[in-house]
Amino acid sequence: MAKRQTLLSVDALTKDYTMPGGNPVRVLDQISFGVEDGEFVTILGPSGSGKSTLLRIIAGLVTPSSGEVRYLDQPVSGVNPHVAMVFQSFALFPWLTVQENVELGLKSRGLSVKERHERSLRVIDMIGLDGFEGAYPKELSGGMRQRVGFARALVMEPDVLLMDEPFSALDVLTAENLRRDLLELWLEKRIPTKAVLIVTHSIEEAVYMGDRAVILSREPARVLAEVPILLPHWREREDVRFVRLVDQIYQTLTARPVAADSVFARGRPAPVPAVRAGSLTGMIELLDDLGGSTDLYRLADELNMDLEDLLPILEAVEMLGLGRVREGDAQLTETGRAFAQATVLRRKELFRDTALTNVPALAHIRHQLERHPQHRVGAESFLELFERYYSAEDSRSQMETLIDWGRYAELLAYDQETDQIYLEAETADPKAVPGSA
Amino acid sequence: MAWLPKTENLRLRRLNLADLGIMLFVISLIVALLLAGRVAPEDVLAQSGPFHLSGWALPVDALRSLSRIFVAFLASLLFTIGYGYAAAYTKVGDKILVPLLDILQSVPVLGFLAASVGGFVLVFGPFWGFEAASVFAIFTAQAWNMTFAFYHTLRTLPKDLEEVTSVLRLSRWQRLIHFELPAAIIPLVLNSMMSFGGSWFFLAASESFLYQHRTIHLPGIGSYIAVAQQQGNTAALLTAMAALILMIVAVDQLFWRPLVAWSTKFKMGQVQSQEEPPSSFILTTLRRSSLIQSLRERVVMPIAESLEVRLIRRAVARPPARREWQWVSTALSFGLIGGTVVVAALGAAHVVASDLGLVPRAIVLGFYTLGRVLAAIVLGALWTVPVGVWVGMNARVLRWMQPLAQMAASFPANVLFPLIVVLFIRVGLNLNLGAIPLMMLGTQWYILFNVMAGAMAIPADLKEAGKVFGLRGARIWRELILPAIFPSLITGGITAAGGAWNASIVAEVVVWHGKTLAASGLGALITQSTASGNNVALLVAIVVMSCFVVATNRLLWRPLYRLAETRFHVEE
Repeated sequence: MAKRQTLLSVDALTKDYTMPGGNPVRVLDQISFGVEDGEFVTILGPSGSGKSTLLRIIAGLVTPSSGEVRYLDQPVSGVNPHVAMVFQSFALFPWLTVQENVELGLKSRGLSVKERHERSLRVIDMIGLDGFEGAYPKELSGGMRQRVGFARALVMEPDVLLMDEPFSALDVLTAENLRRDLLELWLEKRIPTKAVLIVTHSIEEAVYMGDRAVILSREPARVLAEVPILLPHWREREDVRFVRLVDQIYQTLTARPVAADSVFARGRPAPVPAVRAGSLTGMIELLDDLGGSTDLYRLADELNMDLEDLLPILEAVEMLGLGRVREGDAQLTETGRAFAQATVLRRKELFRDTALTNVPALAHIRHQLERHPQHRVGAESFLELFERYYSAEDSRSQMETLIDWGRYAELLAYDQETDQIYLEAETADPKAVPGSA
Repeated sequence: MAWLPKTENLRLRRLNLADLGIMLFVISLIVALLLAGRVAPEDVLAQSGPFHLSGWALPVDALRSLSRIFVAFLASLLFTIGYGYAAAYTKVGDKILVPLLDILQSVPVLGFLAASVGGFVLVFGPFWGFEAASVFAIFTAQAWNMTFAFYHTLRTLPKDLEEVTSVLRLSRWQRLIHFELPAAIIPLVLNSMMSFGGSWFFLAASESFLYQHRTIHLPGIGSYIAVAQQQGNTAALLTAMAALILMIVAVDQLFWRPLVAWSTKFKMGQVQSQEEPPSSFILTTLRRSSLIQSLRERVVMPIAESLEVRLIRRAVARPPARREWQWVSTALSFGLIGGTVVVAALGAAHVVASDLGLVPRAIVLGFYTLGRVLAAIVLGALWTVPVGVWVGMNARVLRWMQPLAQMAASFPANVLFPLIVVLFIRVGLNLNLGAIPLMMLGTQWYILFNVMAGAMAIPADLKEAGKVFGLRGARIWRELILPAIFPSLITGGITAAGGAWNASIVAEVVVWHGKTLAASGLGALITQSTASGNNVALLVAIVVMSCFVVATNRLLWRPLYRLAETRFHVEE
């Protein structure tokens, strides 16, 4: 393939946010890649990997802490004039009709009414919205609304079309339909767009649509790999090469370096995935039913879940030492198997033991409670420990999860009104058998 | 007329009854306003004799008062947009403009009037100065909560739509017109309705006031009422009351209902609600009228278009001037603060020089009034809670009760105060206690409304669960209903308390037939110092009352509100 011109590039983009505790946390770390003229690039990454932030930096909505966005090798500052954007939530103005929504951007260019109407109606026809020009977004189905989102972006005739998870708020059939329509416009060159950059968490979507996938890690996001997808269009999901590519990307995504366990005093605690004890036990039972080990791909299929929703649960299972993920397979540990086959009470004991050894934050809380004369400590003092390293929202979510696990394991009790964590009288003695009271 | 384009033909033929009605209405409005505007300044200024209580003058007077309210409303809207924008988008805004608004909100409305007449007369001359002062007083009854609503909307704009306006590179003006204002329409309309309803209450007080030891009666229904009270003319008072009710109903039907129906278009969220949206006959007529339609297409839209193009050119020529805005709001806030400090210092010096005992006395009176305010709310809650819950849980009763209660709420009860006080005197109740029911007349509706809304929102599954578990009688109240309506009860209480402080000014002093009855309280102190032209006492009373309002807000209502938000929040 002949070397094409690099249209848009990001160079060593880094983004830090300051946490409520005062610590800066890095969301994006030294991200560099380019988009060539005529290329359809997907950015793939787990949730919380900051891929939406990356897209917003490229659009000029968010300023990076360091690094720059370049267009035709010229640095771009402020809102990027060469892009248009499609939003996950559609982001339509409810008080404007379809046509008015589409024309809004043209108004800022100072076009005459006639010219605006011509251009908007042309795009509305092209995207399959004719007949709905005068409808309000509320009257439309989700798929039709996102078509308006596409029309609003395309009418600006941007050089680069940015899309932030444009299909993930739609049901499966509608999403597939819209994907095909968009790809058709792109492949048949019916739109003057020179390049497309789409953020997604769906590997299949990336392999189905793109020419290249940029794979991001999490916390902070770094470029893990750039996978070229050279299959000819239209691609078949059952195709062996398709499946192999999907599997390869799955493995790249899940081959995370195992985070070294750390107690608060020694630095940033490992993030606690927001998974309730109920989902955890459900996952372990399912893995046990599947023979204790299964392909991730199959697991996602079995549960009809996206990678985005599946990964945190597996992470929690792994964190608690009940299972592990290796080379695209999820498997139960000894403890995990024992847990799956135990009675309700025995499960709580197993959970308690493994949680105390494997989740330092929980052990830390339990320890503090035992040391405290009244066995009662305000939750905010633990929250502050998280807030040194995580955003207020993340910290609260992690704290909630820990409380949930602690309650399930009967390691602690929590009073929402006073926001205090305490030990119940019968569990204050760590050796007491739970449930005997 | 074959040379006319076809559509033109159609248009002409479609000129229908509705168009005729609209034209008739517009013409009669113009005629009426011309009539109302025919006031010789000398009449007002030379008015030493009686204000004539002629039944024929009443409609014209009513129209004059209505015009003042609308002018004040327009001013409130402009103020709301400017102040809200500055408060939301500048650094000083959050730190200075918002707390300042909070304080302004707690200053009694009539305080502004007494304080501003002199200034307005200086600027506009006697006649227009009085008019301006009157409009300003009504403005102060309307503007603050509208501004809060707009500010709140600007601070909670949906993030994704904000990003759209940035990516589409809309200018500041376009952002305001196409995004920020539409997003604020619903809260603005709702708050405007409340503000508007509140301004009827101060009509009488805002039209007849003291200026350099002379009572000024501006021609209007407010003066009419004031004079009728002064003369003890029951018939005139009842006529004025009937006229007021008529006006309130007319404004509600012709203005607010169409506006509310129109505003539903601006509802956020992607889901079409299952409820029947509010509809208005007037709005439908206006929308279907071909006259209005062609007016919109040929006059309004082209003007709007060309204005927008002009504004874009300017915006493109000059990059967004953030610093300029910063400067405006800095100047605005420092001006306001500086002015307040200077006035406060001068006032304090004056007070100390004239009467040392004034401040302690005002504080003691403040506690009396505080007692009345709290009593009015507790007593109001006692009947509104059961009735509100019953109505709120019965859809059929709700349908006819809601508009009725709305009407009762906006009816300025103070018009009737003298008649009620006459009754009090008959049964031997003095005004010290009698002021409490008078204050209730104006404020209990807020509690009723909120309780009704709260009861309406109790999720059906909770009610069913209550039934399944055999909750009955007192227990269902304690376990389900009271916790569920607690947040709305508190919201209602806060609004009612604000209203009650203001109402104390008109409820603690009642004039009837040349006699003046007064309770001892801070409200009475304000009215009496206004009447006697004692500006020092007035200033002290106003400052003390503002402090009371701010203090009760911080110490009583805010903690309760927080409790309501956290503990008793029912998830949808």
